[in-house]
Amino acid sequence: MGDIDVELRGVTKRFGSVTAVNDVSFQIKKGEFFSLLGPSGCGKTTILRMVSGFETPTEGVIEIGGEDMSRRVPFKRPTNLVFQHLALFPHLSVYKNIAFGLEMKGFSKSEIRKRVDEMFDLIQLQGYAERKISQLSGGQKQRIAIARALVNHPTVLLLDEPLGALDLKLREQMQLELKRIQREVGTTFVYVTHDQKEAITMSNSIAVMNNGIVEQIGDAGEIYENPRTVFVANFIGETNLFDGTVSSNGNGAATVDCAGLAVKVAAFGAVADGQRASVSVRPEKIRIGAGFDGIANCYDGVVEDVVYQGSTTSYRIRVGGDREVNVAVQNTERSDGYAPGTRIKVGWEPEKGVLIPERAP
Amino acid sequence: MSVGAEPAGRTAAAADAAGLFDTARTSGKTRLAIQLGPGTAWLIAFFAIPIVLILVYSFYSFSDGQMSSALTFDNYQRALGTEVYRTVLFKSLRYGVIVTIACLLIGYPVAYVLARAGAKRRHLLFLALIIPFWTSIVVRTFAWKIMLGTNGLVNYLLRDLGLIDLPIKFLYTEQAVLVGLTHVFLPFMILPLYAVLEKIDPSLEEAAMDLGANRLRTFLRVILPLSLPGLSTGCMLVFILTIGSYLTPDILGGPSELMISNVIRNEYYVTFNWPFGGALASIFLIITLAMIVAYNRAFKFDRMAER
Repeated sequence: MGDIDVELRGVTKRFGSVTAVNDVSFQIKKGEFFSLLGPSGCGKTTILRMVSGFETPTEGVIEIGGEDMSRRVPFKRPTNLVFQHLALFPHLSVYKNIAFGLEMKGFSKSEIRKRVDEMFDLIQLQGYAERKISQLSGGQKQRIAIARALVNHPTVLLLDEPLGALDLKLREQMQLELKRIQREVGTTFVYVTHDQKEAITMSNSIAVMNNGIVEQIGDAGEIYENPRTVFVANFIGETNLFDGTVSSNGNGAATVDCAGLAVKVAAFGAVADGQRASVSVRPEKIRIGAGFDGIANCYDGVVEDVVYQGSTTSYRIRVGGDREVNVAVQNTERSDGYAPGTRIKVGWEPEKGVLIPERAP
Repeated sequence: MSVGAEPAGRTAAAADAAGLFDTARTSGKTRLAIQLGPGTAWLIAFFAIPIVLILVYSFYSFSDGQMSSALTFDNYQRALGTEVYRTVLFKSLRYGVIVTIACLLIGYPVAYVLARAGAKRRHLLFLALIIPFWTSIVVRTFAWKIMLGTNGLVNYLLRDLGLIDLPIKFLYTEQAVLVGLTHVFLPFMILPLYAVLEKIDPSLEEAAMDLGANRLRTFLRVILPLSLPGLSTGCMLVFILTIGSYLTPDILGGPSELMISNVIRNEYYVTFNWPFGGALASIFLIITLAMIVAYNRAFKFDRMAER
């Protein structure tokens, strides 16, 4: 128990008739970089606001460091929040912004100076103490906001899509910067984002949310390679989904009949014949060309569309009637690839696909 | 006129261009005159000239009901040297301070609630604020007369509830004037405060609380400093309007509760002593201007605008 920093047990939040968060439970380990990932309106920000104390759960318990925080006011919690639009105080200098939390807690002037200076070192913005907030660039404001929160040594640092407003390049820089800061201070980070790439590059652990529920929790690899729901398969990266009914199963393998297309797939969970299920196959796991007739899933197709993307080329291939399969091919050779209209073989091994049985309604 | 004139036809083109330029300049001047003319004329006719006249007349002498152009400082000596006038002047300034503080204390919470209300409620609240604002100040002030009169609503209620036997004298007291003034000028405090408070991102309050500030400290350290521009504008408006107010003390204060504007008016229209009235008005104007300058210095308006 000692190494759990945050625990949610059966947390539900309703706003009037709308259920924003529905019976969510999870644990976040000490020192973890934990991401809440999902589309807007999925409840991830509501969870963050409940952890920071700006919303009270309708049901359930939120524990931080083993203590029940469900009803505690924000200014008495061991959490600090980096706001989506940063919410830096425009009337205070950079120094005063960072020192704000320490002043509120009544630290001595010298202690405040020492800790704020530590922060300037951490975020590498020495010499900016007397600047005004309006004189800073986007990335600098970002770092100040993080320093203003971290200087209080919170048990958990909460971040509400803080990189959302930055352009792509700065965003990627700041992602690395955040990772570095997290490694250095070792604080537990809870990071809310709708950007799956961001979540994958930064997190130890990701909770994928949709419609107020947690669809799946796991590390990036697990969530990408073994999506447990159709939503997760679709939301994280790109995928090909074959929906159909299980026509046979056993010995760790199953066949799903998708409108005449029989797709074989490795199956470890218990599925029954006749059950509705989907098979998810990532585009880069599919092979095209000739000379692999031996593999279990092999179909004839016609190239519909080709998009050259530098390191990879994506093909849209029509397979059997009106089904289309997206394939990403690594450009290891300096060849021209296949032109639209080319007849071609498409195939993948059963273990490359993931069987996702339809959830009981 | 062609834009891409060839070098060969340069002289003609240049002449054309010069002509065009000239017309552009004159039309620019004309436009400026049309834009600024009416306003300037208005200000000169109805503000600058009257003020100069008041200043000039204030040095005229007045005897046996007659004004003569013999210049004198007597009016100023009398205005500053007579106890009654000094008292009225100080009273006006004191009322200004009291009404400003009252409006601030009442107006700040109202402005804050307005700024943080949802769109629907905000519309309703704004109507409640604006509708009285549209009503004539005379009507609103007379409404207080009905409320506070000997047989007015308040006395009637108090008697009905058995709290008093004899009616309380509310009207024609200092308190009645202050209540009336506060009511009349309250919107001038609320509106500028609302304008700044509405622009303060609510997440700043949350950030302060997240960093360990309770509600009071959040207010003192974040909301109050950020609302200072609106606060100082509101205070200045209410103060200036109050010290110069004429109607409210006239209706609610009666003859015993005169403010400086009532005294000046009496000099002009009752005793017809324009020079003395002018002297009082000039002294009042100078004091007011001096206070505005001092106030601006204190609040550093320019620097605040930069933020």
